[in-house]
Amino acid sequence: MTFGRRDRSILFTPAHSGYMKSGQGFSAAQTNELEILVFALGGITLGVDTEQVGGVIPADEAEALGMKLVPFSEKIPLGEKPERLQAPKALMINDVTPYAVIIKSPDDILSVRLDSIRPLPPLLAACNACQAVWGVAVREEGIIILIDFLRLHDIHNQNNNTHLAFLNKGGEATT
Amino acid sequence: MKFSLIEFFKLNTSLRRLWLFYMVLPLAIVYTLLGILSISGFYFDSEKRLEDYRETFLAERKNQVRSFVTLVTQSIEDIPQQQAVEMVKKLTNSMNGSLWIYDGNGAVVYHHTGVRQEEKNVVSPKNAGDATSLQELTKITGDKGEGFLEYTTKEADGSVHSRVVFAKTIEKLNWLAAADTGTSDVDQMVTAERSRIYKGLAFLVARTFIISLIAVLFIFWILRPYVDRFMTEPVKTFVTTLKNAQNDLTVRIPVKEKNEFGEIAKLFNAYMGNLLDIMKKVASSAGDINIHANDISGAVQQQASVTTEQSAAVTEITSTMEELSASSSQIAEYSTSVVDNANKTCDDLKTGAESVSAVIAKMEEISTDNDHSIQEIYELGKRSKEITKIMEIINNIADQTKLIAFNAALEASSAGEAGKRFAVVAVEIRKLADSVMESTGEIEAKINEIQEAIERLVITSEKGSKGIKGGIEYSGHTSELLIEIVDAANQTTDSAKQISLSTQQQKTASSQVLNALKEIMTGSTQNTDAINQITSIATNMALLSDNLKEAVEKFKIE
Repeated sequence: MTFGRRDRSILFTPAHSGYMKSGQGFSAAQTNELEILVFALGGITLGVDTEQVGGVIPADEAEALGMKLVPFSEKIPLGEKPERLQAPKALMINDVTPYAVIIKSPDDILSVRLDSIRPLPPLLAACNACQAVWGVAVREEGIIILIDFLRLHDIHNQNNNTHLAFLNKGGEATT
Repeated sequence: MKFSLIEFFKLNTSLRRLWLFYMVLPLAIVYTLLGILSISGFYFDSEKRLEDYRETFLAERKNQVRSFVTLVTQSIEDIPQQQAVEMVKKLTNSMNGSLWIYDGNGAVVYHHTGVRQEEKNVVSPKNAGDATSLQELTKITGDKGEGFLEYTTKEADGSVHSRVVFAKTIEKLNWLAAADTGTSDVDQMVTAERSRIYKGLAFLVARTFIISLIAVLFIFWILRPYVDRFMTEPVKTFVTTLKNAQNDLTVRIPVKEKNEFGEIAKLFNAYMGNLLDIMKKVASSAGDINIHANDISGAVQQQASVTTEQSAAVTEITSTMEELSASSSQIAEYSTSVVDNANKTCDDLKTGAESVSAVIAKMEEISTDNDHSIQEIYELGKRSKEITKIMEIINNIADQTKLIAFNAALEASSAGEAGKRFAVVAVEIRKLADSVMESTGEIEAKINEIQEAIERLVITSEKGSKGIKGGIEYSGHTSELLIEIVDAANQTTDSAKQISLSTQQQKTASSQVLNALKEIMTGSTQNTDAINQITSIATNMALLSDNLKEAVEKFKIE
């Protein structure tokens, strides 16, 4: 299985309320809706752009394929204590193969209007752990926190390097 | 011994009177009776001879009359009438009497005096009537044709004369001839002879009496000294001794004679000796009797007290026994009821034992069925687990289908407008997978509920099985206990019957005891009366002993 690499990072500017896809000059004028894959974590509904998801397979199968698994609940400490997942699923990230994000299970694929997407407040945006969250889709059923898997991948790699450096320096970690 | 006639006849002693009465007087009476018998015999012999004497003369006279009448009748029959009349006249002239001849019509053919005199002064026999009438003469003749009739007549001067008439029928003429003659001279001769005989008899009696009297007096005179010596004098001695004894039991009669009086004296002396001994003992015993009578009186009074207490006790016992008898009757009735109840209990227990046996059999069937049910439940649990596995497989398939649908939707999303229709299909597939997973979830939930219910049912069934087995075990114990109880009930029934029988016997025994106690009570009352009588008797006996002592003291015994 091969997955295409597409930059789905969204940039918010104070001038408009829409978002832009990072890297490929995404503009809100080209499309008014965004399809997201919705999943839940700790009672919070999360969403990810379907273009960043190369596919869904069982986690054990992904591990058998030799993919690098990113436990989402550990990287994004939202909500309550991370629950123990039974039959977890692996969301394969496009363009950064062979990485896959481990979630409980995908719940749905929704289309959200772009003008319903809001940027994070500046206070939250300063949070290191919240660097992978790029916005919030407001819907009548509730809000959906939008995640950028590529940033999550970057955060994951960054943390792993820090951890390796820490191990090489004798155990003094720095963040 | 001086003889005195006055003294001789002096009957001043009873012994003499007795001697005279029992010896002389009987002899005199016997002698007199013999004399009377002899005189009466002589008298009757004399009268017989006088009668024979009279009969002899009377027969001679009758023969004369008969011969005369026979001669007359033969003359009338044999010779002519005139000659016969003449002959009759001649004959009548020589006779001392009368002659009559009647014809067949009752008319007087002939009478030696010419006219027949009526003989109406006949006094004996009274039925003779007119002895010379044709009617009387016809009676005399009777069937023999002849007959006599003796009769007496009383004359106007009062003299009585005896006569005899003979009548004979003259058959040839059908006449009747009769003649009579006087017989007073015969009676006069007999009277003279009787006087002569009685005179001789009187002389004989007088002579015999005088001689006898003299003989008796002589015998009395001869025997009197002997009588006085051997009878009167000893009796006088007895009488004198006894008169002078004055209750002296030591007095003795001198024994002089060797006859019956000597024996009497010896016996009297011996009797007096014995009487003296007895009187001494009586005197000694009288004192003892007095003492003992007082002792008896005291003892009897004590016994009376005891008897009174005993009577009261018997009364209480009788009352108690009456209550006991009533209780025995009630117990007998109750025991009968107990026997009935015991029999019913025994029957019920047998029925209960049979029911328990039936319950055990049913419980064993239930246990077997329950084991089968548990086994079936186990099998049902296994099957439900298999269903769970199948549901897991279905769930996995649905999960994979869902993943496929998500992947299809992702692909459709990346395909742009071209993939929208495919995305719709993917969404439907994903919804179908969700529906399947939801259904499988519900099925799993139901199966879990079923399994939980099965587990609870298994647990409950196992508990029930244990309970049933425990019930069977307890029922077995119960059956054994019931059998033991039935045996015990049988023994109880037998015991109850024995108790009933015993109570019946006890009831009878109580009644008998009660009757016996009533008899004892009656006897006690009688005993009390007897004791009272004994007390009275003892008192009287003490009094009598005093009197006896006084009486004994009147006798001289020392």
